[in-house]
Amino acid sequence: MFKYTRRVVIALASTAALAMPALAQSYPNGKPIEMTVMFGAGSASDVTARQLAEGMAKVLGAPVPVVNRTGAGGAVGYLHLSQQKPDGYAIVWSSNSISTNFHSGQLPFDYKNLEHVARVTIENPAIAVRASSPWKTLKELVDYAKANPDKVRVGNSGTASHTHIAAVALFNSAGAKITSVPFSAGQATVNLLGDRIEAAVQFPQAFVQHVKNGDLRVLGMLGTIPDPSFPDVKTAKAQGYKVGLDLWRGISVPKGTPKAVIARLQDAIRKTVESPEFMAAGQKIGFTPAYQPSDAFTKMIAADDAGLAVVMQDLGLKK
Amino acid sequence: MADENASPDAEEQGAWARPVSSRLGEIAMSVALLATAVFFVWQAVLLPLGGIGLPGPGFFPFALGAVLGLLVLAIFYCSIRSEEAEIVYLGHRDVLIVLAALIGVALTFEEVDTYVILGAFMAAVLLLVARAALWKAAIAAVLSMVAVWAMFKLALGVRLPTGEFWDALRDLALSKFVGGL
Amino acid sequence: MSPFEHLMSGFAVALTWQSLFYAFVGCLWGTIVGVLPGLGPLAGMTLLLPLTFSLDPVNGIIMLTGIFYGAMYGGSTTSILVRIPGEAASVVTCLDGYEMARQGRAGPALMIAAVGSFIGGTVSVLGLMLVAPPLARVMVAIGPSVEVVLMLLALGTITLVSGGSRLKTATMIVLGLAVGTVGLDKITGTPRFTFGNLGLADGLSFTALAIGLFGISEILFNLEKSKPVQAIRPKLRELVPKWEDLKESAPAIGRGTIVGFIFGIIPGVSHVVSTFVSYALEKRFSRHPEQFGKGAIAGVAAPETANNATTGTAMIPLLALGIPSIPATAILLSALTIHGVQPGPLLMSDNPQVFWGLVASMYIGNAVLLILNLPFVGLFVNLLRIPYTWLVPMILIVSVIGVYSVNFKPTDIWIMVLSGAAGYLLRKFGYEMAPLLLALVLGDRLEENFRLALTMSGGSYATFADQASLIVILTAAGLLLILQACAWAFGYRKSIADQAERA
Repeated sequence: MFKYTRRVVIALASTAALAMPALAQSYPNGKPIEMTVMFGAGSASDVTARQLAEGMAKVLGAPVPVVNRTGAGGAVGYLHLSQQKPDGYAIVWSSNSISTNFHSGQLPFDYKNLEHVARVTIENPAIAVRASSPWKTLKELVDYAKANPDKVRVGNSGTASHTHIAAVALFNSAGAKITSVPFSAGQATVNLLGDRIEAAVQFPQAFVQHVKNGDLRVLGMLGTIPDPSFPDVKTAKAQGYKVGLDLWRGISVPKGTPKAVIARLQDAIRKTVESPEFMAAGQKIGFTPAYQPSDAFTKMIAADDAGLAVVMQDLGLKK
Repeated sequence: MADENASPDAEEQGAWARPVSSRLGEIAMSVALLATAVFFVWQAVLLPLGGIGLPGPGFFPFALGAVLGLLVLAIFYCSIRSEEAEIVYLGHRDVLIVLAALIGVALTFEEVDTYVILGAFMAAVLLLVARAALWKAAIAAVLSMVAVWAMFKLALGVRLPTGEFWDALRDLALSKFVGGL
Repeated sequence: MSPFEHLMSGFAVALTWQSLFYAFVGCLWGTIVGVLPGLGPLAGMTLLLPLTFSLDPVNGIIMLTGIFYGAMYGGSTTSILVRIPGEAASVVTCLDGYEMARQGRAGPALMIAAVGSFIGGTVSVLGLMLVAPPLARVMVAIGPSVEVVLMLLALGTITLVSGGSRLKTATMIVLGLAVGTVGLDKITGTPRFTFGNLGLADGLSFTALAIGLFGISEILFNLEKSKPVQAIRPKLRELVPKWEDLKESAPAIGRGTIVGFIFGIIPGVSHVVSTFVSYALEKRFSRHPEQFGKGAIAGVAAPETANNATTGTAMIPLLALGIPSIPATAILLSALTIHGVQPGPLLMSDNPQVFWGLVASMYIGNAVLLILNLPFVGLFVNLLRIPYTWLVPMILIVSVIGVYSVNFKPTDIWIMVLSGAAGYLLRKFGYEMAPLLLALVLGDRLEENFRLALTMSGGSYATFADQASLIVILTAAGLLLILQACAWAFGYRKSIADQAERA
């Protein structure tokens, strides 16, 4: 029996060893590459992922089905991916949520537990108030909040979400205290329109139409660069506040995925992100294509993770 | 009257069915629900309760567990005081078989190929509950899996787990072959 | 241009052969995913979403809304035939629809569901067309505190009209609310009752619970009958509703439309709440409430009408504010943005062809759905000819796959099986499942909104009695009065006298 098992193990090991280089060369060989998306079907992030998947499928000559594994703010999706075989047939649509989830204690491992293939997009949170409100500039709002602690209610898309962290980081940097209101998806804008909160932090697309219609006013972008949706709006950083939190999204794979496979995926992502279709989709959906190759991407995540750890510690969100 | 009818009734209710007085059942049921309520309250107090003005995550489970407990106590009181009522039968053979088969499916799902599990489930239920002939059950199982494949996989593109079953089988065959060399 | 002229131009967009084709494909596909338990409008729309990227905006949206309607309608089929709710909005339909099927009246039940869906859907599109902008303003005024008031009203209504013991109904409601707290707390993200299992982080799957508590428990019940209940095989002429059926259903469909349209303004759970409330109202206004739960056709007509009537209202926040209020409209939103159409206050002026084409396509979609589904009724009813013990494993297999395919979590299969066993036991001792399920749907949002409202008011409970909340309560009371008056006008009181005479 023992002898038999050993033979099996040796046989398996040798077939695996034989298969490895062959696998990397012919990858993906028409086999489906499953992309895990941690957000619900139809969300902006999901739609962007589907655009990317479509482009990658064309380049790789293999289907790239998107599977939505929602739950626990993304922890479910990351956990699922970390348990998959590192063969390139399981990839994940990752974002800063890997850091926020880890620091909030939701996820048992951090970004170092995955390999990061390439960054795809960045999104830029914006802070808005009603057009009828007395605050014409970001400074007026922050100063008011400083003078009236806890009086300014700022809506976001959920506790420890990117919009929440960005909002609190902005006011914290000026020593102001606010009341954060964690709404579910999309509801922050309605409540801002309905005069139940003073301000909201959301991604530009949630505000564009209402700004054009004259109902809302955007006071600043909380990312590191201005956003094409609101070309006239300065970043909070440019207005003198120490905050710059881009939401990045990219593709990551389980640890141990062969280098050749990662290179192949990275190449497919680059070709997709640089295609005019993807650029056009970005304008419509509201993201900025921002390709970054594996090594630069991994360094960026490391820096971002360290920054978020500090911010979340300040906010009392770090466990 | 209850005594006269008990045994033929029980037989009609299926081989393994046991008669239970509904009063006793009601009491058992309310005890089970009370345990649920206590469990909720106990787990909720371990969470931050928050204040009345700003309820924390434990507030709702705590309040709901408490109200549930009160309601169930009222039911419990009523059922204790109620007269002996009708007889309820529990533990019918077919019910137990189907439940066991379902638990089997839940246990093996994602571990073994979906078609294998569900085909076996189909055959088992047909054999034991519908008391179909073996060949009929086998054909029905195969046909139903073809239908499932066509419907869910082909038409709807639903991803069904293949588990490790085929991989293990292939590895085994491969190892035998390689080992034989 | 007047709305009418706009609509005509919309029809010009939506009545091309191409658009009709996509409406047909969407409705057919939607009906199929709706019929399969577990797979609902969400799954159906997601699967076809990539396909719409390559279509032009109007056709893409027409196809997606077709799926939405189709799934809403298809969900009733399994509710009626085998007591398995195809999706949350058809839970109530199980109550009387399945009883009708057991009496050999599956045909009329399915037919009236189709007709009710058609009327509810069409009328609510009319509402969407005429009052979208003002209603959007009303929706902006509905904050978390008003939502809490609305949900409490809904729960109260259900308790008052439920059959069986009120004590047990209340127990089931509280149990449902409590079970709804399982999972990550929506406000702080604290895990509750998950014991480290990420499969439970988002709470217990509603689909799995609904199929377990209703469908599986029903199968277990039927298995223990000495002669497995075979639904009476319908004869061909019995497929069509009788004159009395129609007379009975007409007012129910009317009220269902109103209830559905109004309750459509509750974000998130409108399509479920409206079915429960309309069922409760029918029972209240019926001349023989004792027949409810025993195969009353009004108990099928009203909720099926109501859930399709909410689809029109559900579109309003999406189109007028760019904010999806239910998951299905979130998918429509992304389909629109992909095509560069940003829904919101400017949609009507910036992209009138999309808005009015969409409105027109909804009329067309509803009509296509009716035509498509009537021939299916005969087909579905014939499924009941299969011996019950053979039908059982088939239903169970489809349920297992359906439940799994929602989130791809094996935990959900466990939830389905265990809740099936629990439901079987609870039902044995006179506990009803419907209030439990309604509470489960509402529980999450009730708590979330309750706490959000308090966060915003700084801990003051006065927020639940503010102007907006009071208006809602008064409107609800007024509406009940009007409906009561309608019931009088339709001569229900007289027919009670008739009945007494006959008896």
